[in-house]
Amino acid sequence: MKIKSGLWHGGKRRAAIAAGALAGASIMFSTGWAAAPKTIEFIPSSNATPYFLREYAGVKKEAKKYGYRTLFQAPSVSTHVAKQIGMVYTAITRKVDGIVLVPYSPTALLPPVEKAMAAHIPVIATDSTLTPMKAVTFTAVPNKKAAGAVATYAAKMVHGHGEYAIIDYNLSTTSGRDRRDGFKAAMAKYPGMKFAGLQISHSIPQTALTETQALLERDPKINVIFGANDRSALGVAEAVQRMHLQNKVVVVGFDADLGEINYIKSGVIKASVLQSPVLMGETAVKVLHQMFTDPSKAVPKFMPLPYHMVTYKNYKDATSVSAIRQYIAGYKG
Amino acid sequence: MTMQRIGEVRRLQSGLIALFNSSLVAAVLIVLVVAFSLAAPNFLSENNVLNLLQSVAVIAVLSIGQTFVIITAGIDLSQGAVIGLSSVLGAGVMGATGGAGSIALGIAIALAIGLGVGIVNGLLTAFTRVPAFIVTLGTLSIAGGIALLVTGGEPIYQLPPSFNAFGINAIWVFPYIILVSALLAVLGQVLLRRTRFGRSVYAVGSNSRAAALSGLPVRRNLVLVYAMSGVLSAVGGILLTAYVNSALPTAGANYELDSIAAVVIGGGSLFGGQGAVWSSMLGVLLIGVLGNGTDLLGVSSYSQTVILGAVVIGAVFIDSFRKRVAI
Repeated sequence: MKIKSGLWHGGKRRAAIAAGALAGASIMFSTGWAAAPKTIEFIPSSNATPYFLREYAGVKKEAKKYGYRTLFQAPSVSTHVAKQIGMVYTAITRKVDGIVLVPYSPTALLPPVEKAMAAHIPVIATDSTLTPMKAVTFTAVPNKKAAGAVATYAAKMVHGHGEYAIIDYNLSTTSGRDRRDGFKAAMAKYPGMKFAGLQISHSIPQTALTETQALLERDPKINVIFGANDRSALGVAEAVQRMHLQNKVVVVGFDADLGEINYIKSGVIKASVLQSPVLMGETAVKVLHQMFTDPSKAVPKFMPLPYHMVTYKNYKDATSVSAIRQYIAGYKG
Repeated sequence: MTMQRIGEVRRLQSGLIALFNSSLVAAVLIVLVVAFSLAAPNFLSENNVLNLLQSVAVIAVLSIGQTFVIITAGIDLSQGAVIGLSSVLGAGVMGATGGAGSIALGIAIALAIGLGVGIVNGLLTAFTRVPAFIVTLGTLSIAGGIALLVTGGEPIYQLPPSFNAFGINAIWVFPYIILVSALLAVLGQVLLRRTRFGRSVYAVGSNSRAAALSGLPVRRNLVLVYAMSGVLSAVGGILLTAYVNSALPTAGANYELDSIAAVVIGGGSLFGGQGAVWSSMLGVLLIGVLGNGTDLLGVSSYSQTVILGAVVIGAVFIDSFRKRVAI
């Protein structure tokens, strides 16, 4: 009896060990044989605007086509460039296969980008660029031109006479600086338009709102205000509406989330330049895919993306609806 | 049992409690390092250790000053704003004049700004009834506002290349900036534990009335403590500017929250009379390792702030529990 139970016990134990070894071996085999999917990390400059979430949606969409994994890391406080630098270094340590970056500063992000490129991790700069441009390519809407277009529209609305102010999101990214420069350069062509001032919102609508109110209180002659991104334009529009100045002050913006679209429909925001965030993400991943599969093929250093100006008059048009769909998935009008 | 025996047992008890508390942080740190090295690939690689140390260098310097301030039962909320102001004014000088001497001049100006703000903090805290919280909240706004006024919100990009080289280069895995922080930490610990000034800092924090009545120059020492914190914040600004190769007026925003967290995690009590530079450094390392390790594991940076908050609350809870045991 005892011997029997002893043998049985031993048998059970041996069976368990064999099963475990088989399971372990099969796990080892499957992970060893199956090639790990390529990983692409998206590191925007901040989490303060929904624009980058739409860009990430584009990254994911294109990555899915090729079976790539994607990761998202954004500094939780938008002014911490040191955090973004650390995130790029961490991506290098984690040995990701490609990085899609929105550099918060054109110079601060240079050392980590150069390190990534040296470690054979291609970096695509999107929305804002590096100086000098050490990434594989830079893809964005030509911000100066786009801001100039909306400035011209606003100047024409006020017949080239009055004062204009700008609420910019930051002056650290090249996109923030370019939009300001482009807007001012276009306005300079209208000698009757005087520059009344610029304030920074850091993509916080409340800040943009209070700054706009202060600007308008201080200088009632302002009849054009440019909110240089979605969050800034939202604050500007809210302020103008609260002060009942929508018929006197022309508000123009950049990008479009649901709040901005509603202001466009109600006419508080007269025009907004729409970029193509989803397309931006897709383009970046397309370039990375080319780098992975055909690294010898040349990549242009700048890949411009289309922009579309939505106005309070044309927002129902098919082109406008499709442009807005880049920002609001499934938007029908 | 004789009174002597009882006294010895009590001293042993409080010694063990102090060891337990500080070694608790060290123990958690070791556990985290081991756990991350097992779970996250390349956690202990040269590159990652370098990245980790670079990311904590600035907070480490701030935490030295914050330790002194918190031991006096005060708080310095202006550290981040001093970083911004000192770095833009210092960098403005460096970039504009160019050349080797300009770097020294820029650094001197940055330190002078830090000293100035610190002295203002100290004078107001020591000579008025306004609590340090409010005083430093005020100087936070003023310093931050001046930084934005002076620069118009624009960052300063023109910096001498040798300055940036100092910010990003290293000896093996030890970046120059962490070596500066480590040196200052050693000096700070010696000042705190081995000098009369240091002992008076504890006395002021434990019972400022008793300290004043026993003849300690309480007000003078408070001014010195806040001045130190200001100068160290300026040093942090210099290190940060060198590291990111640009001076942004909002560069140090919210950094004081991290330095306060590091001091509290390291065992410093917001009620004063307790803390040490070396244990604050453990707190800094803990925050850094947590952030870096969770980054490597792919945990989103949003969750990291939740985790950090939980750790701070846990540390304060343990501190209050320890107080009850001691009594």
